[in-house]
Amino acid sequence: MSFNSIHFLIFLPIVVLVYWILPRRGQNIFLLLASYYFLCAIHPWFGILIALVTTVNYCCSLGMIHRPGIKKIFLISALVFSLGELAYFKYASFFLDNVAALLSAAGVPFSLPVLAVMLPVGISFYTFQAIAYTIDVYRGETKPCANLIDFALFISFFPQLVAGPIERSGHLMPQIRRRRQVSPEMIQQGLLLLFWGFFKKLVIADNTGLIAFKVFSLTDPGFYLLWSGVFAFGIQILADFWSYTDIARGSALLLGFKLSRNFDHPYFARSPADFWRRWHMTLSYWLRDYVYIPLGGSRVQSSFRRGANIMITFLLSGFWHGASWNFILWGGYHGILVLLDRVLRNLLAPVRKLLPRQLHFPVLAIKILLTFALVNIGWLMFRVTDIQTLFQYLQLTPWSSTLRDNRIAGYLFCLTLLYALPIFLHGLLYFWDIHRRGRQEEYADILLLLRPILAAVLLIGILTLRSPEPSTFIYFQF
Amino acid sequence: MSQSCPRKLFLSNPETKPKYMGKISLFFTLFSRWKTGKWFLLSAILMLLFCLFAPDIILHRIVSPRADFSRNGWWMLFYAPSHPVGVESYEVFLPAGEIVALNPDFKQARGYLFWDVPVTGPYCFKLETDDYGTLSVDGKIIATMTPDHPGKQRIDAWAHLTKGLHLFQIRMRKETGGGGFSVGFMTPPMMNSRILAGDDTAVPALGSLDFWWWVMAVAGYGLIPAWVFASFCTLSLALPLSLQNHPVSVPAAIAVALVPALFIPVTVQREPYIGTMVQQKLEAEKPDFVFIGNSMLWSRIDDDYLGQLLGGKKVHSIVNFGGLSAVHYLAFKYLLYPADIHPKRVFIFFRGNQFILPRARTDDPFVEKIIQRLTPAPDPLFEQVVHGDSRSMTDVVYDRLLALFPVAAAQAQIRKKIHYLALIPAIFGSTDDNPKKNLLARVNKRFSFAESSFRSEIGTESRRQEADENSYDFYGRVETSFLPNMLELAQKKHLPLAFIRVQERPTKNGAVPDPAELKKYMQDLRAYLEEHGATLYDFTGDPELPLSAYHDGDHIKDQKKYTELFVRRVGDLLQ
Repeated sequence: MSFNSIHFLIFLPIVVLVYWILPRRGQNIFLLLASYYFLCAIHPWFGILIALVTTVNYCCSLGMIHRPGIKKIFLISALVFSLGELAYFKYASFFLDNVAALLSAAGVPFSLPVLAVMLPVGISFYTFQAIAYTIDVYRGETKPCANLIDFALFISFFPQLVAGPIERSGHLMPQIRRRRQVSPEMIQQGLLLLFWGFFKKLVIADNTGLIAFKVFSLTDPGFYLLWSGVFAFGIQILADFWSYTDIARGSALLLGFKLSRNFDHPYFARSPADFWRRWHMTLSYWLRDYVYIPLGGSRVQSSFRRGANIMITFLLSGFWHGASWNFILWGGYHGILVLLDRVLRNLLAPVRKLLPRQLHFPVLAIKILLTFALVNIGWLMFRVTDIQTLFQYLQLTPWSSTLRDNRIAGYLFCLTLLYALPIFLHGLLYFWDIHRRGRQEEYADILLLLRPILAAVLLIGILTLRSPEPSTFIYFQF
Repeated sequence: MSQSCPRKLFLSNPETKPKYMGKISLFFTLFSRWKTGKWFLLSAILMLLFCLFAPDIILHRIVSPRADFSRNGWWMLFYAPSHPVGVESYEVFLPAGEIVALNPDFKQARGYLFWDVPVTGPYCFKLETDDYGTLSVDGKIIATMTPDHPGKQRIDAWAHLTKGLHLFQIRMRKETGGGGFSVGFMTPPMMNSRILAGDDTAVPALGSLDFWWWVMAVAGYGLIPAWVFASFCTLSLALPLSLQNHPVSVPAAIAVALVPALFIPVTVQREPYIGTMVQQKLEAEKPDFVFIGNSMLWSRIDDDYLGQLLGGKKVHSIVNFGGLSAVHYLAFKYLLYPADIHPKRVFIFFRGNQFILPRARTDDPFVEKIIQRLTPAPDPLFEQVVHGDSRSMTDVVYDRLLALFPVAAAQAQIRKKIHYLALIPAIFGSTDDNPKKNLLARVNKRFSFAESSFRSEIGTESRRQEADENSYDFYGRVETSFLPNMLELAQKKHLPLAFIRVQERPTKNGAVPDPAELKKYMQDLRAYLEEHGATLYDFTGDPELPLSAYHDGDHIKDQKKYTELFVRRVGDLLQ
């Protein structure tokens, strides 16, 4: 079931209503059933798969406590099963294709069976969530959950099941175990997040997605036309993924749960590293805690090792997004950006100290714009799956474009900008607010008077500006 | 929270008094205290009352009693900011019924006129200008002509008027060269329109009426429905002030805040059904022959002249500009079929393979309005044929939402405005005559399938649809078209049908477009129609229809000549 389907609009109010009528013991069982229904509505087999992942990780985590002497075996078993399942469903075809290509390039005639495997929705998200839990139990950072219902709900909680945020056991599990309470404040925030999420998806993401789709459908986009399409895709992917998180957080709030934030206005990032602290934050923190730090992180002495750790983490991040070379390239590109950023920051540290105070804001603006441009180059790699086409695009020069196409590109750029305006305005207001009074929780202090106005404006916006051609969430494919 | 302001609007975190929010917060602080908030509430209520009652009071008590029926026409105000002799503006009376011309020296014009509407009902007004123009009735804009068109254009707008006096306003702004406008109206059927004129019109004795007009417009009849805004303010203020920390306050406030969406914009509504009026007219006329068609029919047959040629027989045409087979079917089913008349024959004009393309042009906004006028409620067959296999649950729910929130119907208009806004920077420095229009045309061309510039895997569905439109497989498609139902209805009421295929415009070398696959299609169509008791006549290849007989596109230059030709060719069907 997709958030932007009519089924979800019927499903959510029913779930919320029944959920609050039930006593506390029945609530988790009901939520678990609702979550499995949510997933099985897409395909019944997906339910069986998630049940397997749940059972294996549940048993292994309990095994670690009851048989501490062989807890490493339990950990390895859980990891092998979870990662094996992910590898089979997500990466097997990619791996076999590349083996076949390599062998044929080497002149060895070789044919492999074609694997027609359907990618289970949300597999990357719930697998990472399960792995994190099992590792935390192994490390002794979290107590294993003895109640299978609670644990199954932790893995399959429907608002964040398909595209995150990837929750940690330390954050979500206590909420599952305790009695939930909902305050008017949570209802307000939940409804606002839902409205804002649907606005971002139906208005911003779907409209800019149409522009990006058309540009990337052309056989011969000129330089400017191509980059106007990349800009549109950059806005689309942000609005699309952010909207999913907002709808997930909004739905969870109505049920009395608080999910983690996944975005913090990433297009206002002032460096590539800052971008990753703001974009898909739960994945970034996951990779940091379970890949980067175990590799040694930045504590290793050798600068080569430090660089290698960063590159491994980002390449894995790219590979997590999809079984395709362009995603690996995209991850590697961001790894290089982060490395360059570190080198430049060290080199320019003395200059920064000499910078007069009046120049702080212009320099900040330049940094933000530069980061935004670099991130957009990355989006080109993300969007174009065919490597040959990607390199053709990267070779385009401004002089290869016709005047006619330039004007069209200008028009598409402005159109994207108009649709993206609410996101940028939201960012500006947010940072202005932080600048004035320090960080606060989103929407917490918006006056009651403004909330209905905002909700009404967003609803009218959805009704009047929604794209005539709605699309599925981009991150569904990951 | 200080003791002095116990009625703050914050639900939580009361310590975060908006002192940190700077100047903007001052405005909201006003709302956050009952002491000051109540004055805002009172003001909003007064504004609401004013908006609800002021327009009627102004129209019926101040303006209308001063209508001057001794002069039938427009009270015009011309503006000329760059007039060579320094005249900036002047007011003048212009008799109604004349086309108002705008001298190149004058940039803008505004005019007022009263019309004493004789009968309550839906009226279709047509505004013809060659530049920007709006037509408003009682302060409400009913037609807007944008300046992005070459030469004179016509725009139709419907308004439901009650019997009695109504105030009309025309506004015009000239872009280039000279200009002019005319306002006409027509009652169904959509023929025989006439320029607004006659004894029923009057000029306002209060001169240009600018002041009162704007009061009315602001109060709620016109541009922004201010009463909606006022209701919104009133309720949004009243609810938080009264509910404060109550748990239902926010859902209730959100629900209240959405109330205005039920009414915005008030002008976008379903078009009025014209069937009853047409039926009454047909029953009064009792025509011997009825014609159904679009502009192909309109440019070819002159009703009165045909009547004369047939020795005084009565002819009635039902013309729906832009309509294709779906519209012809609906016109037949809802205008002609229920009328208590028995014409000797019903002629239906068509082009090409349209009878097996039931969905053709049904999603055009202009045609959608025609369809609304032709049907009192959605036609089941139309819904099944046009939307049957493509309407999802979402569409059904969205339709319900649309009925609840008329504002959603403005989607196309608002999208258009956004696209035009995005064009402004993109045409910067352009030397084109009409840069916006040209750029849009270029965009459409660049992203057109016809240009074949798309990757092969893209748009397979759209390509399939394009291929469908070029399909001539009559028997493969006829059962999913409107034709069987139309023939069934005709047989039920014993209405003899005659289908007239018009000849398309010949090429420059005189060749008539008639592809081989269309010939096979026509053979099948003829056989099918004859099998069901209908007749077909094909004008394709007629020697008396050379290229010189055509005006623009497939429209004929001389209506009367064609009418004569029609009598000569299908005389036996006119007996």
